[in-house]
Amino acid sequence: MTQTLNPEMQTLLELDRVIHEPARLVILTVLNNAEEVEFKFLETTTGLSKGNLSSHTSKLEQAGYLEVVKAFRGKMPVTSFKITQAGREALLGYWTALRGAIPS
Amino acid sequence: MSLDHLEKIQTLTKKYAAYSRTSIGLGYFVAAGLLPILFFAARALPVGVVGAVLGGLLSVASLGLWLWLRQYISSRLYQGFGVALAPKPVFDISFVLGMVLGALLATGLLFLLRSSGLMTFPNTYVFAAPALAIGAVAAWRDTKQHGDILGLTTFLFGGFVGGGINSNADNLTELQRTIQTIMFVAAPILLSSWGIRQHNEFKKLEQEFKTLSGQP
Repeated sequence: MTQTLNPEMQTLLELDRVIHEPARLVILTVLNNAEEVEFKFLETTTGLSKGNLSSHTSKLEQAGYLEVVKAFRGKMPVTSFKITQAGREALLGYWTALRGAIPS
Repeated sequence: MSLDHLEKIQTLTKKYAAYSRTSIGLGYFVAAGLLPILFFAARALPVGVVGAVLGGLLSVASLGLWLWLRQYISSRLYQGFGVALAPKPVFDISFVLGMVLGALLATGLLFLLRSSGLMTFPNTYVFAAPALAIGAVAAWRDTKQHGDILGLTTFLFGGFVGGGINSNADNLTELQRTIQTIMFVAAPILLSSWGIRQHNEFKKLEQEFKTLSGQP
């Protein structure tokens, strides 16, 4: 017997798991509100350790949701991040799906 | 993590990114310091080609100096948590063309007024107009904030018109000259207080960020 899920439940199950993780959701939210953000700024806003932050940004990069920009300020290497168009769409899609899943 | 927390991060990021990019705040304080300098420098310019060239150079140099100082302030004061740059609006070619066209029309009009004898003013102003327009466009491309550029253009034009005309035109009474001088000395006070107010707002924003991230 096949059990049919209600649409809200179906929507919740189909949420983008890459974004659904709270730390990655915060990272993308920050990136969505600026053109380019330095690693240090993300560290402050998310409160994550350097290692954790690197791990989450790598996952977002692998998903194609952010772009890593490596540069030098004087002799200091600086890592910055930019949200990609796919990242913006995924974030928007995530919120749309989540709002749709909330019972009216 | 709650939705409120996410919204708070969103709002703070937007505000911080605006400061981080343009250093609105003490950047205006610096502009306020440049205004009387420009005003009195324009007053001292000689009439003629030399004055016109010096006027053009002065307009571009003052704009360049302000942009450099603004960048310096930004990196020293408004990027303490790292750089987060506010998004640049899409390059608006119509605005730039409008500025250039406006500058050309204004210049043409000034030539007509001058040659018809309706107004008397030195060449400095006429030559400075296109230079200012170019500088203004450059600054706009850099700041991407219409408020910034409007203020900056007014500030530079003000210095030149007020300074240049005031010193050379025959049709200004002593009272008018005095009023202009008072205006160009008083304007920096207003600009400074605006800049300081914005700087204080940034300090509050910084505190909110510290609270949000659990820093002491």
